[in-house]
Amino acid sequence: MADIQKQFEEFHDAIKLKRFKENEELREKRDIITKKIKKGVKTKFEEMEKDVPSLEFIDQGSYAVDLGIIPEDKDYDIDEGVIFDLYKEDYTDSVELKMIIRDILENHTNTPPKIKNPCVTITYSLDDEPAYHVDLPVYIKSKYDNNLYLAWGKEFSNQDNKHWDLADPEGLNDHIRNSFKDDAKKQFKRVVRYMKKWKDICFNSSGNSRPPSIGLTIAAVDLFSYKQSYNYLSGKFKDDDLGALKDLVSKLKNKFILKWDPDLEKSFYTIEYNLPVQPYSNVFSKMSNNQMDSFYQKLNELENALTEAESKSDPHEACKVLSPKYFGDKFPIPESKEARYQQVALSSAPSSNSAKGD
Amino acid sequence: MNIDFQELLQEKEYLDKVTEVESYNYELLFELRNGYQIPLTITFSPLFPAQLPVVHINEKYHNIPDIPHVMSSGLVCFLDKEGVIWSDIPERILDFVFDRVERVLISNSPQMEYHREFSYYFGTLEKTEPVFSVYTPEDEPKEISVLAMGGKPFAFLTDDVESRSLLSKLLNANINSYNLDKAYYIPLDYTYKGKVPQFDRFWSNGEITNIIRDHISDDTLLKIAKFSMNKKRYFYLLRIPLLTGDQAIIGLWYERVNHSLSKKVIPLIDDSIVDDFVVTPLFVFRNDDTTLIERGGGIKKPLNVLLVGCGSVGSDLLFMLARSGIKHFTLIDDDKMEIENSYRHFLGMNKSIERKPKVKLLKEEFENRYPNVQIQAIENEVLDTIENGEIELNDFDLILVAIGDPNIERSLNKLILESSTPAIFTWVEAYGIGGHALVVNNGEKGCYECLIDSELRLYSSFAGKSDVPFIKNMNGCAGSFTPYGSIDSMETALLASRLVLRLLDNDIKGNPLVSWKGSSKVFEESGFLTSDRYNQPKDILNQDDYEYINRSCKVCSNLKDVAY
Repeated sequence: MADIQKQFEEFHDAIKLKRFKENEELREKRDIITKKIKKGVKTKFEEMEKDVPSLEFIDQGSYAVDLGIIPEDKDYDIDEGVIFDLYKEDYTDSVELKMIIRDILENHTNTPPKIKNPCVTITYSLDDEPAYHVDLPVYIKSKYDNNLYLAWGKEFSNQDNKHWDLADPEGLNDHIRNSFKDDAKKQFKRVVRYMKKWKDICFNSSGNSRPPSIGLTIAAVDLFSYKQSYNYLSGKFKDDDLGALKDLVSKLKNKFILKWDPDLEKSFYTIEYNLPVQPYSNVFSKMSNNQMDSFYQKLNELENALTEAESKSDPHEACKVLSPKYFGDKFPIPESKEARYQQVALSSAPSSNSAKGD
Repeated sequence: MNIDFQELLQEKEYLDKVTEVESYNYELLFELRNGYQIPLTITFSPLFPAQLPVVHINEKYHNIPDIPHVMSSGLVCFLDKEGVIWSDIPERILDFVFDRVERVLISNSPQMEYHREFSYYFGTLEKTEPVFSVYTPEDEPKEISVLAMGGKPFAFLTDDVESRSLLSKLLNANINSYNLDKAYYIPLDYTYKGKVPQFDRFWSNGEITNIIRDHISDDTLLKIAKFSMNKKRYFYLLRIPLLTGDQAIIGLWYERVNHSLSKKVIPLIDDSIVDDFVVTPLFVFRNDDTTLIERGGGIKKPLNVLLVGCGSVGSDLLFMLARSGIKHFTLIDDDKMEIENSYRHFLGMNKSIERKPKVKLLKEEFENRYPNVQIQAIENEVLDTIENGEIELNDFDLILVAIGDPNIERSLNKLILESSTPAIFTWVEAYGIGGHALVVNNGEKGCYECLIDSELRLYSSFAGKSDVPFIKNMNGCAGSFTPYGSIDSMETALLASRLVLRLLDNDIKGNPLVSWKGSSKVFEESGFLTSDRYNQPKDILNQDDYEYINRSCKVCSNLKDVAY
């Protein structure tokens, strides 16, 4: 079995996105925005002569659970939930609060903020290129329960497309954060990042052809198992990311079911994975049958590549299978035998000694 | 060559912290291409680069891993040196050495590697004892015997006359049934996938019990259950199917150490008494039918060969064929071993003093050297022997004729063609100009008679026509050195031996003539002329020749091929 754990770990170091506490710039951006929102909400509500609601913020997304990777397009993505201490029963229009947020941040960046269905998006640019964006999902409470509700809808959506959706951002964070411990947790994080990088490399970025990161993450929480292998040389057990990733990929592949599409008269591999928290919806629901089928095929290719890499004893050969085709050029390839050692140093020579039969 | 080894090593980027321990001996860190750094020692030979350096894993800083080709001392066996030639440029040798060392250290599927070299690793066990086996392994468990001397096993065998006499010959001592102890042969039913014992790591008694139980069928277990005894020592011969598809044969010697234990048991499979015995692994040297054939070069069925003529060519032929695995020979020759021709003869000079018949001396010599070989010796002239019914040509699988007398060979040819046994005639020419071998009676036309033309010249001859017999200078003796005699007869026997093996392998069509051609220098200096055939190229002469076949040969043309 190829021992390319070191290469996997180097790859991980190269793609890993540091958390807020390690990434001062992003942390500052977040804090500026949250301060500005607090201040803005106070001003707005005072202008409207209403009681100023208290606000809470919640880190969401890959930053919050420490599963981020450095984006291919350098468009960093921060998710910061804004929780209004208000009741949905008093706010029948779910977009009203999002518009307030949008207005507060109107002149904050060159690119105007945008109200999307699940959030308000602030885009920061660097030399006219998007440098990162901050997604701000907006939540509200209810008079009748302890749940949070996500403000869904755009500014000019029909009334039907504006609603308060049951959500549990904290629960989701906890679910992911608490799924593994210690070394298993470290490997889990690495393996999820490998999957995300693979997704960036192997899928077209347009539309919904990429499986959503949250989908991969939720599936990994469910399916990942910690793998170590015995290193004969050192005589010790050590983490086996290749084995763990391969195991996850094949388990995920097995979650697909073959579904007949009567309109297209064709079978597709499809997958459903429900959120483990409210609203328990299917995380892959936005993908079409075709896209899911292609997701399946790509998983299959990845599984084959990992199996092939595993079968090579030469680390150069093993890494060449994976890099750059599946994981991009950040995955290191150790030098080849030919590059390191001068060849033609030996050939077989018939001699009486080698002719003897036993 | 004066080489600065320190500098040589330091120039390699994959080596680090090169330190001279003493002259020729260095410590260093070797970085494998997967990033693993392993401390090694390298010891150069003063004969470097003609001799390769020796590489060890440095025990001071690293454990000795349990992987193939790494010995318990840490020695990395990176190359089986036999049959390879390496560069004589020091920089390149280092690259090649570390390439090989790396290959050992990152090699795939260790278990398979171990299994491929099961015997080798088993032989490295510290307390292993060697033992012979003349028992040919079968597919069923079986009670067999072991010859033990002073409690120590010496050889596994079956208690029958044949095996006992074979072993008696091997040991040069008489072996009777009462010298033998019981032993049990057990072929495991299922492929063993586990670790191969080596160095100081033999299976524990409990492990053995588990291995046996896990690798036999219920049926086999029932059969083994009958092997229960109340003895001080127990001997087992095991056949183990390996991952490679091969089968290893090993022996186990159980010696009871709990002297209060006294009941019928089978320590091999009884895990309740594992601590009552000490087990010694036995490294089995097989001398049974299967192994001898495998090593000899592929003669599979027991063959009965008639060898007519036991002079220098005949005796060398016998020697080569016995070493190729043929075990049954009948020798016919009426000559005695004389001092004059002893130089060229296989038996050598010391055997000629007694003036004994060659067939008798050869029988003694060969049965002594190769206990599996059985020889019937007939001291008589061949035509007479056949005529008086002492032998029946149809009883043989092959007849070899190395008499060197064309007149007798011509007559013998006729008799052979009347039988159904194929034959090979072989003879050597004088002065080292060459030798020949001819297949006859192998279906189709062509026989010894075809070689002879109306002027009584042999088609095959390398010597030109001469009325003077070429025989005189063939007789080298102690007084006069004959430059070619012995080598020529050997070369001829070799030519004939290869033909025999091809014939037995069904690799010969019809009845070809093959020849080898030597130098004509001495021959011509002695005033003789070579034939036209001699002028053909060596390689052509060495190929199967069917040109000699005489379609109207009075011996073979109307005997065979009638059906066509």
